[in-house]
Amino acid sequence: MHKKKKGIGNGLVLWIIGIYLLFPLLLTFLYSLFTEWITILPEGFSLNGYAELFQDSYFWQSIGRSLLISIVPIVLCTVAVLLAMYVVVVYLPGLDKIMRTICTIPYAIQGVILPISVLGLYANAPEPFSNRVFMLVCTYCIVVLPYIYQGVRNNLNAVHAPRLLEAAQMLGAGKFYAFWKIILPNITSGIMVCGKLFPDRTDVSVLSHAPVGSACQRGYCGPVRRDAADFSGSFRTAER
Amino acid sequence: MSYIEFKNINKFYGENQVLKNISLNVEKGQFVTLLGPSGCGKSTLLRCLSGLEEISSGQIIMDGKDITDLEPRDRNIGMVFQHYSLFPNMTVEENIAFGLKMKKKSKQEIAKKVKEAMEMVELTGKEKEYPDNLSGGQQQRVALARSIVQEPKVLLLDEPLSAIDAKLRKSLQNSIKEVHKKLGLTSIFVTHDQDEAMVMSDTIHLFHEGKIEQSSDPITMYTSPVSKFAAAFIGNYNILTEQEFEKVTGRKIHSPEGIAIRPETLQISDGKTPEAEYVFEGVITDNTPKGNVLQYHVDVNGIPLKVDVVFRSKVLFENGNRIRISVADHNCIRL
Ligand SMILES: Nc1ncnc2c1ncn2[C@@H]1O[C@H](COP(=O)(O)OP(=O)(O)OP(=O)(O)O)[C@@H](O)[C@H]1O
Ligand SMILES: [Mg+2]
Repeated sequence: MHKKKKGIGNGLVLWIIGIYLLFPLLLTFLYSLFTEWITILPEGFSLNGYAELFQDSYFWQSIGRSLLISIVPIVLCTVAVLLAMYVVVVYLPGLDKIMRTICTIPYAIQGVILPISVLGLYANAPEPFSNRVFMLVCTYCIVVLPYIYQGVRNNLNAVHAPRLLEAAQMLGAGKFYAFWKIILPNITSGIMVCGKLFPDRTDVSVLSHAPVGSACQRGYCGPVRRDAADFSGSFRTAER
Repeated sequence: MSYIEFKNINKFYGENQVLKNISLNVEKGQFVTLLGPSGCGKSTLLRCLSGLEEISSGQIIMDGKDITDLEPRDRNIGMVFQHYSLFPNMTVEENIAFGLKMKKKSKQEIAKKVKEAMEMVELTGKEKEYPDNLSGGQQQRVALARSIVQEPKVLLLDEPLSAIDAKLRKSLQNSIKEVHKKLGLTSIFVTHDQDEAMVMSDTIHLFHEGKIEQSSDPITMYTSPVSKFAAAFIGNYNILTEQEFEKVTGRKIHSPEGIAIRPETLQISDGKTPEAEYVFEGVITDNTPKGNVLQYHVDVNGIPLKVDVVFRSKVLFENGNRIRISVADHNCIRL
């Protein structure tokens, strides 16, 4: 009986939070279905807006790019960190300290400095480095590194990875097999949460909105050129 | 030739020598305990046998084969860890089946063996549970089943009971003994609890700072410690120097390393003249009930002694009482 009560309480809280979070989206969606919404009830139902939008190839391109840029870096970074942590956990536990230091550097660098310096670095660099999408992906990799690393490490600690590895070895599994088949399934959910919690930091928005985003909106994804460098210059002036 | 032979094992961690030229034999089917205080190298020796640690020098022979350089998975050794180390994403059943799957056994064979092992450790009915939903004792049973289902040549248990609360510990002790008896499995058990060692073992190897201090059966270990360390660790002995012994009994004996006297061999005399060799008087300073035993702390000419008597419902003496104590010479162990 007691258990059931608790379940209802939890469910209620989840529903309230869910509605709270969905409400703006729902209203926005409703608004988009009507031509006018001045009084209490909207008027002029129409799907034309959507028809136009879905026919616009720029729209699909930008959706694709957004997905690419938000998913690829997290996947890349997670794989890289996992490979490194495999080596650290299985063969060289001593390197953990160095890993941690390296991986937290991007975290320590101030939000604005990082993207500005990255822009400076990539401006006028040869292809593919100056390609905007490539550049964004690479930069996001750096930005998410501390979070992914911390997530992987915490999850490894939480499942006591070395102990599980030893147990698996005693049962006839190789180290490599044990890491990917036993440790990994136990930490994936933790890592997923970490990836989703990818923080909305100022540097991220500065990077994507300012020079790159505006160009991309016009469908331009070519190299970052003078304008980016100029931008970083003017940004510095503005700060002063 | 013994079933398992450790020959001159040395193990260094950097400069720190953890195992110091250890030679030790284990016979087939025996239940052997490595006993010793924390940090003396028991786990290290066990891990060297399992292959999880490499030895710095020496040789390990098992079943007539040199296994010194084999990978853990090629040694066919089962291990139960202090912290269970179950795989949290697998059910009880899957945990137990894991090793058999690694060996590519057939489905039917796996199912049959898993069922047998679950019965043996009294876990039937928990097949589909996840480890997190089990008590510590149950988790350790799963770990035990997971090891024995592999039919290893030797079962290693590294303080399997120390994370489990006292009540469950007894029943798990019994389960481990049962399994050992039923399967005739050679077992090496690590603990720092001397009572546990006494209850479980055929042979006890007492460790001290990377060396074996004494190897013997539990009773010999208890009644005839070979050194001050063994006496202090095993029996809760009174340990006296030659001078202290003379001060207490008024008589001199030769034993430069000291004399050990178990608290229960000291007799409080009840008026009759005792027949023991040494008789002396002391004043009770304190008393502590310890289950079925009452322990008196007695001051004899400035030397504190512990004296155990069987608890007979009422306290026989009070603090400050003057009592007569006797002890036979054969109970005064020369170290
Ligand atoms: N990986 C390691 N690196 C360095 N030193 C170690 C390592 N493992 C153990 N030691 C050292 O080796 C010594 C023996 O350790 P071991 O774990 O064998 O002790 P133990 O007898 O099992 O103690 P406990 O009862 O606490 O488990 C300790 O002093 C410990 O500090
Ligand atoms: Mg240990």
